[in-house]
Amino acid sequence: MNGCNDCYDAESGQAMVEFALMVPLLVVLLVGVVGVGVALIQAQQLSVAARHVARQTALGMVEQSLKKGGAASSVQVLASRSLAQSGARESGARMVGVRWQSLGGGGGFRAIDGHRAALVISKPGGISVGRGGRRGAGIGVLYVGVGLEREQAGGTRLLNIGASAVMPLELPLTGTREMPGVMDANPWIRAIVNDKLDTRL
Amino acid sequence: MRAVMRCAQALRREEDGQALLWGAGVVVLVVVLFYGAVDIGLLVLGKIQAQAAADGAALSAAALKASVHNTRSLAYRAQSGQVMLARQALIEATGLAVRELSQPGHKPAQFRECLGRARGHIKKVTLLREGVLEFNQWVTDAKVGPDAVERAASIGLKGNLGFLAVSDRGNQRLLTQGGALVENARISSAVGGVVYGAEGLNRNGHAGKSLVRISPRLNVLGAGVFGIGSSQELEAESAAGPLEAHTLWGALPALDAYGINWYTVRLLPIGTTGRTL
Repeated sequence: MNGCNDCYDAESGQAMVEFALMVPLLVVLLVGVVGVGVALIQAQQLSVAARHVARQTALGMVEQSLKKGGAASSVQVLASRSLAQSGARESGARMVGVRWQSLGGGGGFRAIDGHRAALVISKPGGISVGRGGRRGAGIGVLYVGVGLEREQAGGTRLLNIGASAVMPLELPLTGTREMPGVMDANPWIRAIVNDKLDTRL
Repeated sequence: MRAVMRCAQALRREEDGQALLWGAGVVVLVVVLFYGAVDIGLLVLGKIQAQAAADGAALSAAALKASVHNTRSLAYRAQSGQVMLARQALIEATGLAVRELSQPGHKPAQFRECLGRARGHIKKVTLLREGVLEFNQWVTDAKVGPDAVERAASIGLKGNLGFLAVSDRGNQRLLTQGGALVENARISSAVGGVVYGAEGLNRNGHAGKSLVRISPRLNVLGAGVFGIGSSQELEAESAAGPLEAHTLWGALPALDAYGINWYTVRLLPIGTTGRTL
């Protein structure tokens, strides 16, 4: 009987040892859960910020072209301003370009610069303008895209999370050399009217 | 013998390995919680991304329709401008003709020049009218309009899908599936306060509002591991339409100078009669 009592005494602290074995595993799992959660939150914050900046930039471009004149040459400035207003810059978000080629879209879709791309669908053969022959006609959409990335704390690039968003807007009346406008997509109107157009829009 | 039996009974009551069993249970619970937390996070993010993609697709489709409106507006404005110039030249010519009656031989060359100018402007009106007809015929084609809208909407969708684009490759082709881009259907939903199917503006996909209903698939982590099914279907819908810019922005000096009815795009509420978003 005494032997059996000794056995019980010998197992005292077993739970503590087993618990000690389990603790590292639990800590790893906990850190993993928190880490994944933080990464997801950061990715979502960046994604939301990218959409916000793209939307604000698109609205800014429309407002600028309709109210003040001078088209979207300052898209970079508009995007930077929107990024600052979103508060994402304070958390280390940095603006990067958008990889337009991944969006496909086929013929007519082309990147204008890091933040803008256009889809212009042209009428095959254009439109007849009397004796002047045929001139191009078309419809289209402009897209403003913003990509954001953030470096982790400590300055080391432990984890880069990128996000991009594309917001569309209508073509302006007249565009710039790079960016098409309604007049540029429809030179048949200009060919007939043959008047110098004010390019403020 | 009795002592041995007592010892055996005592051994049966031993708690050896109990902590291990608890530990195993806790590990399973933690793993389930881990996958559950990740999956709930993914589903919430997926839902947000799905809505963003639907919004992007609807806005994009509406922006293309706005460019149709704006091209027409421009051509109509050019026509009325040419009509005004022709009328001005004719009034000038009439004045010269009246003067010719009272003072014969007075500047006949100027009279002819005014008439020539009027003819030139009238010719431009005719050309513009023919051009608009040709443009309308092209854009209202049963294939051209809907295809163009779908292409534009697809770019808007892909650009806003976020991680849903890589979660399931089929999500990038959502709009090519029947019913995702509702353009010509008679549905009962009110879009922007008006019953969508009753508007009669969406005949060929080149005008009116766009309604997007998508069900992207999201491959979740835990559900697949536990054999519940690795793919969840999310749902999102969005509507957008071209709206007259003056109603949104008020005075527009740059456009007012031309007198052009300019259209811009906005998201529209679905199923309510509220204002635009």
